[in-house]
Amino acid sequence: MSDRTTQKQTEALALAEAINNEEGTTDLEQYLVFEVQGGVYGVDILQTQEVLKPVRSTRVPNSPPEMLGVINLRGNIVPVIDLSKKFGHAYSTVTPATRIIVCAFAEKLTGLLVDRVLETARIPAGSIESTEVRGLSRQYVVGAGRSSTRIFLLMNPAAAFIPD
Amino acid sequence: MDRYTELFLEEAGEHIETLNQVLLQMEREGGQAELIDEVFRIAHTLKSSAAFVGLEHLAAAAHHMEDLLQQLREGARELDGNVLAILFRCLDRISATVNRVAQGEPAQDHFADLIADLKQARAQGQKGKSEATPTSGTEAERPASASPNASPPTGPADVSAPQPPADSSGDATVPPTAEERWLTPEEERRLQTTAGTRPAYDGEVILDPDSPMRNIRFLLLMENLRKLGELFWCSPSEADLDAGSSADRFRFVLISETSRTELAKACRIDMVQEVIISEHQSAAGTTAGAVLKAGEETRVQTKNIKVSADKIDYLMNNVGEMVITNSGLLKIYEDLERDLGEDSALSELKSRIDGAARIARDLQTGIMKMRMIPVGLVFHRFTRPVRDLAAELGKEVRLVFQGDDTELDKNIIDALPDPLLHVLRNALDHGIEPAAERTAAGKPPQAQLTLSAYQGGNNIFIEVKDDGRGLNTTRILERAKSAGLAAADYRPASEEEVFEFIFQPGFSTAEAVSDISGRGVGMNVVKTMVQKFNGQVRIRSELGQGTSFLLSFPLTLAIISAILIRVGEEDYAVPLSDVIENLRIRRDEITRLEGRTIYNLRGEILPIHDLAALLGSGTGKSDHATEVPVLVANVGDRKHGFVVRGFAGKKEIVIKSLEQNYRNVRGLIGVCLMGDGRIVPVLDVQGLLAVAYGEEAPAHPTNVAAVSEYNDGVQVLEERRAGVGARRSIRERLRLAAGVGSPGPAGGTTTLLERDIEPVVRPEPTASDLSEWESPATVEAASDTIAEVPPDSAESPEEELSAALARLHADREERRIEALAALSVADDLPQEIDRVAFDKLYEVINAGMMNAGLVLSQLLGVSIEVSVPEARVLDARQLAEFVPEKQVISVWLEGSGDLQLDLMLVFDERNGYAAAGELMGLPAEDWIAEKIPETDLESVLSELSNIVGSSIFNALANKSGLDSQPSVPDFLHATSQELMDRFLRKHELKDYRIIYISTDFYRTGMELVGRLFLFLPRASVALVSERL
Repeated sequence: MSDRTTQKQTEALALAEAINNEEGTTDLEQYLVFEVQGGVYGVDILQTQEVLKPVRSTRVPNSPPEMLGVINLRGNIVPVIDLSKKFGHAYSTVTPATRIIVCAFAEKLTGLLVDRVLETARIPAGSIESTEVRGLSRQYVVGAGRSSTRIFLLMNPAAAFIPD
Repeated sequence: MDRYTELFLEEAGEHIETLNQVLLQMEREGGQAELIDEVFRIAHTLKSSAAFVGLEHLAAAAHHMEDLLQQLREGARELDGNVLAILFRCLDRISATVNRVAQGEPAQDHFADLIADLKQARAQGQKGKSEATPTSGTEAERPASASPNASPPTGPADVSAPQPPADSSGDATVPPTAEERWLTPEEERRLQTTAGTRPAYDGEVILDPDSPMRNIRFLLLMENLRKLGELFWCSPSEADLDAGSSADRFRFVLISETSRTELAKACRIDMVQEVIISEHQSAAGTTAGAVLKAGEETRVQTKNIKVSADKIDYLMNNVGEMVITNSGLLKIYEDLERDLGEDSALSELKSRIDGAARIARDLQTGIMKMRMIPVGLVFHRFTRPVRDLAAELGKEVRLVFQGDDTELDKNIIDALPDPLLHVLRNALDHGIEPAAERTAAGKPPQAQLTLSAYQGGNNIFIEVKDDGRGLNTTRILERAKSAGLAAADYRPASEEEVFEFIFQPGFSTAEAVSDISGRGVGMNVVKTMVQKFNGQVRIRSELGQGTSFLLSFPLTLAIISAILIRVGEEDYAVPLSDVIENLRIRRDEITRLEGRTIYNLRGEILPIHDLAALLGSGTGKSDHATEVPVLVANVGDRKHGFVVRGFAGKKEIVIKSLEQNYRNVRGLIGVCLMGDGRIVPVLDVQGLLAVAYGEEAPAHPTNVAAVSEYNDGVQVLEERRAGVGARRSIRERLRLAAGVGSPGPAGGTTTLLERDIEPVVRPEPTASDLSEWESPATVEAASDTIAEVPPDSAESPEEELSAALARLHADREERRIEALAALSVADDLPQEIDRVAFDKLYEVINAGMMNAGLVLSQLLGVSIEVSVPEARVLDARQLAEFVPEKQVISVWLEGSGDLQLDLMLVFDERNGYAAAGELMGLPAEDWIAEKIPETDLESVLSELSNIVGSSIFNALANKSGLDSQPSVPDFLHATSQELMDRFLRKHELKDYRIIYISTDFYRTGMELVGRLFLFLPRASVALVSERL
């Protein structure tokens, strides 16, 4: 599993490099930008593995409220976290735009349930501004990034990827 | 760590293990030649492979070990305690270094002291034999140069002390096994010069002892070898062979670029018993150009290969996937069978699916067997620790193995050594008495410690049994009380209860905490490990007679039997090994006692727990039945009852860990996958009890409602997305509404129907709705396809249609000729249909179409009108003009019954997708081929045709009393030419009257144009005219 993840990440990295060279710019970082309860967030694309349409999950007893159970991802048992709930809102409602972003962090896979995926933002490395965001603790958000069309909050993977 | 180091570690581990055993055997039985040879072989192999991965110090130590052993082989000195001690030290030091390397640390040990001792030991044994290999020089100056080379493991007592060069020895009468020579140092140097960068091989070919004319065979072999490279040296020499040497083995050194496998092949002449080829060992280690690991020997007869456990796990996972995929196929088959009924092609499909399922199961079993490893591998590891420990404690112990070929799952094998060591230590420390005490008790002074493994039922048992003093229950109880593990007034009900204390953390009866046992952790570790693998520990003990620890494990970890239960609205699995029985008990017989619910089960008090509450599953539909189902489980030798909602049968399951991507959950062992890919949690009854008794309060409010709401949302989405809803329910609905009998089961689909008839919530089409991401997308896919989806810039259907019509008119003549040529229709004009009859028919059709519009409107909850602006009678030659050009989507219905009448509905592609998309409730921008799978297109349009056809047939039946039924729709999505070919060639068109009906479907702001053709045979024309 982790092999595959690493391979994917390596590929993605290679691709990112190729794009950089092509555009003649240096050090673009890519972020997958998504929406949760109207808020716009991003995660480092190298920490994502794939994006799924919502699939049936099985509840895990005695798990935290934001944990929507586990899904079967090609034989892997992957927990799904409702980010809306995690961020303190109500549970999200499944719509045709709802997606599960499968992230690989600390050799574990976690699915993040988001309201919609918006874009892949390519932004220059180091342009993430470390800002205090009112209303959301730094536990979840480590800064803000700016794509061509929107500003997004960069998620702290350690807080959101690893379920309690 | 590179691959070669990995291989080295793997191999070294085995060598160390063997070395350990052989040394112990030597200690017991003395230094027989085979044993010394074996140790020598191991030292030799370790030396060369260590050198290859850069562990020079280890290699040097192994080399000196070899030297010492060489003395023994030569009989230059006797095996004594001194030598054994130093050999054991070598073993320990080598083992330590290998372990360090395995942990990725640098090998710091320079072995200097050990090498000095080895040299000294050898010098003592020298006995003035100054002609033996000198021991002078430092490690750096003197690597493996003078070592005997690549002695074959099975070779009998090799003598590789310097000898005259083999080719100068003409002595062919000496028995061949008595004297075997390899290269002298001088020859060695010559070989290096000769070989240069080419690889050299040492080879040995042993003939069947009964084979006649051995010398001739060897001469033949020499010929073969010379074809492959330069034969540097051989024994017996060519001269000896010519002279009629009767040696049954032939050794050679060959310089050759050929692969070892090729070489081995060339050696396989007639009557050969064994071929051993290895890379030549020289001062420089391996010769350049050799890519294979030094010293590795190819045994042609090898049957076993080493495979990493990861690869097996990978296979296992994939086979699991395959089994699941197969059950998916089976489901499709069942759907098809329901829709289409019995069919020979379908039953063929079924038998193929069954076949594939069988193969998948066989594969699964086979791969599981690959995971099974003989337990002896673990057992033999204990020989040494037991010996050392017994010596340390001054006890005489004989360790006996039984059933060490019993196989156990690899995961258990890996986890077994530690707990087993604890049990053994415990037995040696506490169980077995010193010799004097034994003799006093009338027992033989040497104690027997038996380590046995055997299979019983679905379990593997591992037993550690001693004939020592047995467990002293009084003392255990005292200790338990003093350690605060039991109340002062505690009175045990049975011996077993007392024995349980041994497994409590913090329990130890050892008077003094020793290095060996008695640290109060050991036995606790045993229990934890065994339980982790779903096993159990039992103690049997008789005072003065001995103690036995019985560890039992399930046969294989990979698959266990489980009972499926329902709790609330959820399914869970419980390992069958935990379950004692299923009961139905009367609610009013459950009593409450001191806050606990209990039940009197045949005179035994059975604590009753509400599983739904423990799992936070919600109560589900509360039923007030007088009886409730109860699962009785065994927890630590006590029975507990768990109230469930129902039982759903027994199933073989594969437990998957939750820890891999999440964490362990109290009350769950893990999860398992059902045949359809669904995940079902597997309960850990022991852990549940901890929750039940409040040791571990449920930390979170239940999220059962949220998960079930999420799943409902997913289901709605999935039905719409996968077209299941579209396919199944539209089909059913359309059939029902059109008055055509539904072939499916009457019930079951109603809920689907109800849900689908509700107005579909259309998602707002967002440009950023990333459809490309939905497949098993990779990150790279994400990075380049997230471009904004451009708005649909194509022409509107109306514009498209008029453009198509314009083109149609432009090349109509050409197409007509083409079509005619294709059809070879006879050039006679059709008989005119009676004008009055035609008008009547038109009326009927119009009524039918209006009815179809009504049906559709009802079904889709939107207003749809169907009008028939034009109808005319065509002759076969005109047909082509009325078929849309390019790609068409068409459905053909054959009518049968009183009236023979065929019906064809044709759309151009754009209108076809629009019609299907509309019926499926997709947003307008999704009415394209990419969004509508062909299967959905087919089923939806087939149903539309069914509606239209049925309406017309019904109308006809009403007006004329001629009752007909449409056949199964025949769908075609192809070019108009193919349509002509496929549909129209079926009929002798000249025998048909074709009625063309332009059919428009209107929905608010939307117009869909289809064309309907009726094909009436002459006989039907007459009939219709007559009846109407």
